[in-house]
Amino acid sequence: MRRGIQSHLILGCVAIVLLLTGCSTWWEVADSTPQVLASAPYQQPNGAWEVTLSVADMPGGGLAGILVQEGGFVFTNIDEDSIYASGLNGFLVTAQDFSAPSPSGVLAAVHPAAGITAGKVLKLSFRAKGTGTPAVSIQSSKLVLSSDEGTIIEQ
Amino acid sequence: MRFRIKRVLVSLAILVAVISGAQGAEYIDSFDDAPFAGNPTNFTTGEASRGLSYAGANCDFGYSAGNKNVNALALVFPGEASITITSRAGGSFVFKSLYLDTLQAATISGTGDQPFTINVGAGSTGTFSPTAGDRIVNQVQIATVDPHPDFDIIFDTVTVDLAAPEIDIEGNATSIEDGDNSPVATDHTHFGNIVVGESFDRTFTIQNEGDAELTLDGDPIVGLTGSGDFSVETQPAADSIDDGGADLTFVVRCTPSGTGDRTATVSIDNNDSNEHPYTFDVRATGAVPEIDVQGDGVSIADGDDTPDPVDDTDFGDSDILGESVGHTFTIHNTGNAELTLTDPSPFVTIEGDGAGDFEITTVPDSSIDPAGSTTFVVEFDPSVEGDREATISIASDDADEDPYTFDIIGTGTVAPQIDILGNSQIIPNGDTTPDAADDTDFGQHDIAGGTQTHTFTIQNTGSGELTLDGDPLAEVTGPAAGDFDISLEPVSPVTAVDGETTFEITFNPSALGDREASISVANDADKDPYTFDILGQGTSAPEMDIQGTGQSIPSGDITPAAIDDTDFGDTHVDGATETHTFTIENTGSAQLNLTNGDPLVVVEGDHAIDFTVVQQPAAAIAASRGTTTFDVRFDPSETGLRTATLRIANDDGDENPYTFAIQGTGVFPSQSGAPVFVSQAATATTGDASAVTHSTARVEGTVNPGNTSTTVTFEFGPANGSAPSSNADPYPFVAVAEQSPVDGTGILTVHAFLQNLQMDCVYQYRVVAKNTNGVCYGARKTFKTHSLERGDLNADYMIDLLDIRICAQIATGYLVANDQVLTQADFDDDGDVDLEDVQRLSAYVLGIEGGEE
Repeated sequence: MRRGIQSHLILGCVAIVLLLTGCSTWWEVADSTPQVLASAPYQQPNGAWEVTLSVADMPGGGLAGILVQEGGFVFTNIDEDSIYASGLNGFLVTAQDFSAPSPSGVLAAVHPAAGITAGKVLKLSFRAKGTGTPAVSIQSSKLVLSSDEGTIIEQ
Repeated sequence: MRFRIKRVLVSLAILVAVISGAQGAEYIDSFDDAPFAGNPTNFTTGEASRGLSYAGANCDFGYSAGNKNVNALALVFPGEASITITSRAGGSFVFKSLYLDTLQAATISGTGDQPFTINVGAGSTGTFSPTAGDRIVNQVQIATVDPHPDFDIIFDTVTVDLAAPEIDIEGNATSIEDGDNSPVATDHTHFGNIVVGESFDRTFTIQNEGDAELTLDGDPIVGLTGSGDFSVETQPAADSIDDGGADLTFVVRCTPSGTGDRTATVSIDNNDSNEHPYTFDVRATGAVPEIDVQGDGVSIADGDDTPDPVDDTDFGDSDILGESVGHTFTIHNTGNAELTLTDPSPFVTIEGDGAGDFEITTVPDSSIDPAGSTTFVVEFDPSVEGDREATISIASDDADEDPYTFDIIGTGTVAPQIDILGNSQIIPNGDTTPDAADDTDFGQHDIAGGTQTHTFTIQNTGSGELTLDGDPLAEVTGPAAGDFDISLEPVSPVTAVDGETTFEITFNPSALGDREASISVANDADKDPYTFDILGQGTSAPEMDIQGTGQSIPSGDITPAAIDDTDFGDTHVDGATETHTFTIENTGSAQLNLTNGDPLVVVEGDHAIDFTVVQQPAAAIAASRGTTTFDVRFDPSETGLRTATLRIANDDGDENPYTFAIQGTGVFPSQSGAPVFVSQAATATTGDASAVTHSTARVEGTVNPGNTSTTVTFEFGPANGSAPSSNADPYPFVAVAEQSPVDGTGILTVHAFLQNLQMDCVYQYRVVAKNTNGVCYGARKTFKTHSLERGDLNADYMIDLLDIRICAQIATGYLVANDQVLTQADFDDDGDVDLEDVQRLSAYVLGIEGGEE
């Protein structure tokens, strides 16, 4: 299946996302493994919703790349056509596709200059659909992370 | 009120009691003291009228039994009637017959029971009911049965029921008394309040409750006198009502020409005997509505253009992103007529330049009773900074204040609003309870170099730009301020409406225990300065590491290898030994203690007897990379593989005991009995290549060192054809075997890793064994390096996230690559590596449109 591409450049830092939910919860991990957290969905004055992703304890010089493969995203009560990902703190979103009728989105983002051990890395903007609370989650099995040292970070 | 009029017209017939008697004539002249003859007499129904008598010659009774006739003069029955004749004295007689004749003297003879008997006794009656029509009783014949009555018989009662009309008028199904001059609402004679100029109708009903036709003989039938504000809108449909006939109605209208009471009298001429004419008063009150609007209990003048907080017309200041401000206004009706708001819902309109910033959130009632009120709420929610003005307009049926208008005003303001977040959680200003949940607790870290960096976000949720005006912008203070470093400063100003900037704090404890500090961010918002406490703990602990030949041996290692000396190799069983030295290093910040006692290093396992710790380490190893060593000697007692495990108890928090496996191989010195320690030239056999990539390969061979220390290398170079060139070095490169130097007499397998090879190239290689007795070259062999797929920038035969990152580094100038990699990275073949290549490579990896076809 072929779909359209959107891409963006933003300078800043790096982060790793292991699991993102709309409930603003910690994803419990063992010591020295990457920690991933997501903000609760928050609404902008214009009605749009946002979720910010942050990481901590990134090994290998910090997070330098993130890849969410097909089936990695799960959206609930969200208008998929409105989803837009942007990098934070230097992350460059090199490819993204959340367009319907895709069952989920795909995304690639890297930090060209450095790795980030802890900090914000991505922001997802979207509009809610229906009356329920919007929620976003990422399946860790569909998530690939790389470090500044050029290695795949094991989850 | 009803009256039944009994009209008894009695023109007394002469009643002649004929008293028959055998002797002598009886007379009956004692009927009355004042007899009259021939004159009609009026009676009221039910009254006992005495005085019936007789007169005239025809009334002279003879003294004899039998019938006597009495001629009536004029007993007129205008309608159906009955006549009752009562014997007052109670004398017994026979009322033999009653003759009724018409004016034409047609005798009605034999009507009724003839004769009927009136028994002796008071109250005895006899009743006769003639038919309808005017009649005259002109003769009554009375017969007695006693020819000699010796008592008086007085017929003293004549009762007559006559038909007559009876008028009654009702309003609201309630009878209105004739002559009523006190109008009330219950019978609709009082019309209530009527707006001046408007009309209001009341319907009244005329009934005939009598048993004769009621005639309405006025012209007009219903007349009015008094206030000219009343009129008869509809006259009765007929001028009479038959006995039992249908009711008639008429409608009276009132149209007040002014305020106050308006009164008139209704009059209806008719043939009711005692309610003629039938009159009653009607009344109404002229009324008007009157609007008044109040804010906070203060009346706001119609047309007021000077908004004032006193009457709530000035809404004051409100942040353009803050909560709206609501003011309640009350509409009073001070008039005596219902006030109607005439605009469509919400009945109140807001006009003017700032109208969009005001909204009617609570709608008033559209109708307000006299002396009543209703309220409406106006919400002020400014969209921009500055004064916002509008005009409230209320259209109504108030005669002189339509529409009722007044101006309102509010002021939109802007202001920054600061919050600081850690781990996406808001850290309350002034927070003194550091918590890992919001990243203000940095946790435990070793004082020997352990660091932790947390990122905090300054968020401006206000409507105005936020300025951080401290120097530095984020300042660390407190007893352990030196252990916290602002490793990334925030940026000021921060844009309004969810603008944000981040700063980083790195914790690097200099001492043990709790390390506390405070963060202060001076700013121009309402929380200035924004402060919160942070906390970290400095810790100290030993960290054990054991190395062999400088290679770290992980605790728990069960794979002995020569590279870290855990594999002692082949050792003769005839008394030869092999001793390896291992180093214990303490990389922690606290002293490391070996805790097993004597011995500190314990050998365990099936073949522990073949391994001896010939030199024990020191029991205490200093912090910060202090070291000690111990020696293990391998002395195989039998041939074959010999294994054991070393166990070292210690106080490392997570590596106690530290264990690793060791092994060695016991071999016989010689099977032939010949001298075994003869130095010989080595032999070498080139083996196969494996693990070939685009730039590396693993090559193997076997070597017999000839019981002499032998250096083993692999020579290699591009083949440039099927055979090496005669005038060029065919093996320009050399790689030393991992096992080199080797010694002994057996066949040893050796290998080397070849690196920096050209891709897609045929290489030739051979093993070379060199010792003091000569050089031996293995046979030439070849392999071909692989070619790379486009985009495999790190040449790992996978195109993945790592390649995307490398491509991005090249495109943004962070990485300078060689031509080979540049070619691989130029995904769109345009001669340049740029962001489009990054995007296309990313799309290719994700399998979406935009990747390489």
